[in-house]
Amino acid sequence: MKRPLAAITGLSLLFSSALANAADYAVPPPGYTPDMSSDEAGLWMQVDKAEAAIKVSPALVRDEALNKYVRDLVCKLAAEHCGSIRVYVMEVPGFNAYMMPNGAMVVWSGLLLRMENESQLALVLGHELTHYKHRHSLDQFRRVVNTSGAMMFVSFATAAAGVGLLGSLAQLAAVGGLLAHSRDQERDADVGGFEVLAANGYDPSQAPAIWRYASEESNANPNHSKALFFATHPAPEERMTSMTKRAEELQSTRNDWTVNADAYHAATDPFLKRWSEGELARGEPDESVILFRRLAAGAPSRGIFQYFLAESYRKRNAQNDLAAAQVSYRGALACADAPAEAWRGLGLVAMKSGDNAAAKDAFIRYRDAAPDAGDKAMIDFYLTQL
Amino acid sequence: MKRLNGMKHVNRLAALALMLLSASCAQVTLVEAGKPVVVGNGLTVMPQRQWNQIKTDHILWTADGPGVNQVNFYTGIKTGKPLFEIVGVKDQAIGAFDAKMLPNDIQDLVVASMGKQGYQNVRPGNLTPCPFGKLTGFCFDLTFATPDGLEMKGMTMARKQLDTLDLFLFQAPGEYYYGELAPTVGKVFASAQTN
Repeated sequence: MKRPLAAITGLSLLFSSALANAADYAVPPPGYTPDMSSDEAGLWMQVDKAEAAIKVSPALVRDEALNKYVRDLVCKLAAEHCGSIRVYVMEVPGFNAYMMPNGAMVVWSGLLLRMENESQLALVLGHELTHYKHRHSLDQFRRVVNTSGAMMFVSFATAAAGVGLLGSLAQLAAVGGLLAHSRDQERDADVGGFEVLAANGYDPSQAPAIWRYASEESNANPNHSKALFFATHPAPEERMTSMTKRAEELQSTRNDWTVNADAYHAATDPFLKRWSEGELARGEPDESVILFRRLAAGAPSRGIFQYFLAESYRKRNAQNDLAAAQVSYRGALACADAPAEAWRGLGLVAMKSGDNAAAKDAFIRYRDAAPDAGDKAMIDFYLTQL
Repeated sequence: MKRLNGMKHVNRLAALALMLLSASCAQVTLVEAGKPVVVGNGLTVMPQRQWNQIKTDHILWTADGPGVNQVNFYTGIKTGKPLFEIVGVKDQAIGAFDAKMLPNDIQDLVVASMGKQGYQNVRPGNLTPCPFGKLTGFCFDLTFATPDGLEMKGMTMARKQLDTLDLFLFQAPGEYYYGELAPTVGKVFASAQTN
């Protein structure tokens, strides 16, 4: 496959202003480990503890096929750095992925739920690989120590030690907070991610969509802070604009761009129900409505997204939400993969709306479709009330 | 990148622990076995063993410390109010009880509220009607993890009464503590009576 090298080189030059702000660290050679007497070795020692905790975390997804899919993709994107990167998929519903300076990459299930194809995932993974290759964490670590002194290092070490003891996602957050990348580093990683995406033949027009997703979810919820991936990043709107421009420049350089949607769905489909339940359990139905509305619109034959859209409406229960939920439950039930719970949802909405006949019909259908459901006794009780 | 929400969750639970710790200096009392205890909204329960009681915005019992196991008695929750306060989160961001809610809705609200507290992968199960005093209430189980990754279990019993909600919630680590205390807590829940 011919790579658009000229275009990519041009891209790098085009964004040289962003790169000029990034740290001037050499890309670590494959198999790199820092000198034991260096501060970088101290940094690695602490994140090694964090990585050790991740390995025993109950949130670690251990499914072999899914891990292989993500690992193979990372390896393809990382090229000669493949052997230096270790990938961990964690069942955490937020929109996030992050890279540790020692080569440990963590991908949250919330990110996988939100991506629509391999091209989109490749952009995020390429972004994280750029953080690794450009050693952004080391740069940031030195800045923090230089500006805040030794106490910050102690705080960091303490946080990382907690990770080691408890396998704590929370302590990992503390580590991440202390090593948060600067906006310039994020812009640099954006450029790097985009280069990796294009160099591997992934459709660049998929890139701006990721920032649009983030922006739409974030804007839908006045009570919520930015999605984790974007907390310190440039505004999604800024990235959408710059990514769109880059994509347009690249688009005509070849005509065989790929998105690999089928491979992506084959790898992630078995987990969609569980990850979607986790999304709803975050208790942010405003964001969930936006997410599942998008996923349902993108895959109208997928009842599962219609179902979770309906659940989001029902849980939010704002004006007209029950009616919207009813429409989506019915939409889900028209699809081959509709979960039996769609009948339950339809029954609950009908019961709350005072339509006892419809509620009774839906509950009976739910009971028939899922005779061993954990809430069967509750449904039987509802039926006695109708 | 920065995992700000994770930090917030740590802070929320740390603040809760600090609040309970502070409270423990002044307001920890001993609950004796075999003597009925008023837990709010005209409800009494009968403890089968000794408990440490901490009174904050609600009554909490613990056998080994609130960081290890908790029996929470949230009572008299009115329409428009959250099930419980969460440090650092505005009430309107938590989600509120509504008297029109069905048991499934209240179960969803418990799950979402615990998610806001910082617990991970909160999953309910076994929603079923159960006696609550002289009324029919409902019960369900929970599994979840703390932000530290500790796997937890929960047992909940609730009822709606005159447009208010009474909710009892027991939570403990799945390893040892839950199984050790669940039978006793189940008897406490079953003993609920209206004055």
